[in-house]
Amino acid sequence: MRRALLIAVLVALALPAIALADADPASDVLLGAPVFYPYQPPVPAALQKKLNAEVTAAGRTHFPIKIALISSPVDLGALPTMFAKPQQYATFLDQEISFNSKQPLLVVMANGYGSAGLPPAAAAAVSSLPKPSGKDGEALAQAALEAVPKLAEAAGHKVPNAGGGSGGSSGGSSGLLIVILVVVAVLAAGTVILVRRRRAVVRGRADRGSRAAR
Amino acid sequence: MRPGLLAACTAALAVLLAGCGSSIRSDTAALPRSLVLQARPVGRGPRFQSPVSGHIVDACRPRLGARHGSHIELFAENRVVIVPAGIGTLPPRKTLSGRITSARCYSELATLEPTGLVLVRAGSRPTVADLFHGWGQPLSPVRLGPFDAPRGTRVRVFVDGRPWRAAPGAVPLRPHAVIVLEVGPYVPPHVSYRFPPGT
Repeated sequence: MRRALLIAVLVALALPAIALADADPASDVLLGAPVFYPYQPPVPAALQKKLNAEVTAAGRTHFPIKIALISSPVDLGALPTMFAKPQQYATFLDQEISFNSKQPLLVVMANGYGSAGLPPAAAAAVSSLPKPSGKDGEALAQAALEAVPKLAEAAGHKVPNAGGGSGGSSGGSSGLLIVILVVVAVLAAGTVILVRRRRAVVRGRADRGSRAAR
Repeated sequence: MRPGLLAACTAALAVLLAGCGSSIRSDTAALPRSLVLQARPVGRGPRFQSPVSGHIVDACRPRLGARHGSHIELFAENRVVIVPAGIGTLPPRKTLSGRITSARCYSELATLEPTGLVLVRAGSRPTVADLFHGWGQPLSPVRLGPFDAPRGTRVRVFVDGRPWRAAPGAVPLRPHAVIVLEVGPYVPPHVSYRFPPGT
């Protein structure tokens, strides 16, 4: 009997964990993109780029999350019955896109969030996220933009302000530019001070030398 | 069957079932059974995710224009085969978030996302054969892209959930057609699909 159990365990372990796929567009799009956006109305390109950048930045801090924004049953293709069931859809989508490793996932619908594959602290933080301010894709994208840094932080990762999340109006690149300008200004000021001091020292020596010669 | 082997098989099944139960979160139980039965893994590797290598033979126009949608799903070796974005379009293409937002021109059929949604120019009547031609993949009663039908079997075709008896390539991409092509193990086909507005 022990031998039979051993064989059983080995057989079970030998079978690969599988991901499932179905006729929901998000599962196909998320194979190659970090975020699935609703069809209609389209989310403004600038906002898409902002959220994509934020999710990419989160990935760089070892928080590689994928996001599905679902604003209507159309966004679910052959699975319209999963509309307004964010946690159920997150569970299903997770099995579609997580191959042999965990893929942290956040599903955003107007009535709330669903998650899968998140670290426990981040999963707990999902329940404290404020509901999206509206039903359309733009509101869902804004909600996701604010959610990513919070979930990452809960999981112990600080996401740089690449996407300008948390409602910030300045992008990460402009912030970086300001820092660079300040550093350059300080260095320039320091150089000017050093050059002036050096000139003063040289002049002082020259004056002393000429006095001694007289 | 020897008792030891039978016990091993029974125990293996038990362990597998237990494993399934533990790896799927509790709310998976709420998933409709029909849905779980239809679901399949996405195949891994280039055979399951082949890029576009076909040519455009009809008029390639700079504007997408009015289109209707058809949906196609492919299964081989009990896995999903991805229909890529970019069929029926010419570079340079611009993409955003996994979707093509613009291309040099568009054929009478085009895929702008890798979801199986095929956009067909109003008034044209392309078929599944045209789609595979634009993709650059073979299609016959015993061949589905890079996959041969197992010996003694053929490519199974379903349109709106009903079996299609003629050649796979002859299926017309009519408005809101839900087309499923399979080789290998049987996969229960979908019968409906919610198409995006305007298609």
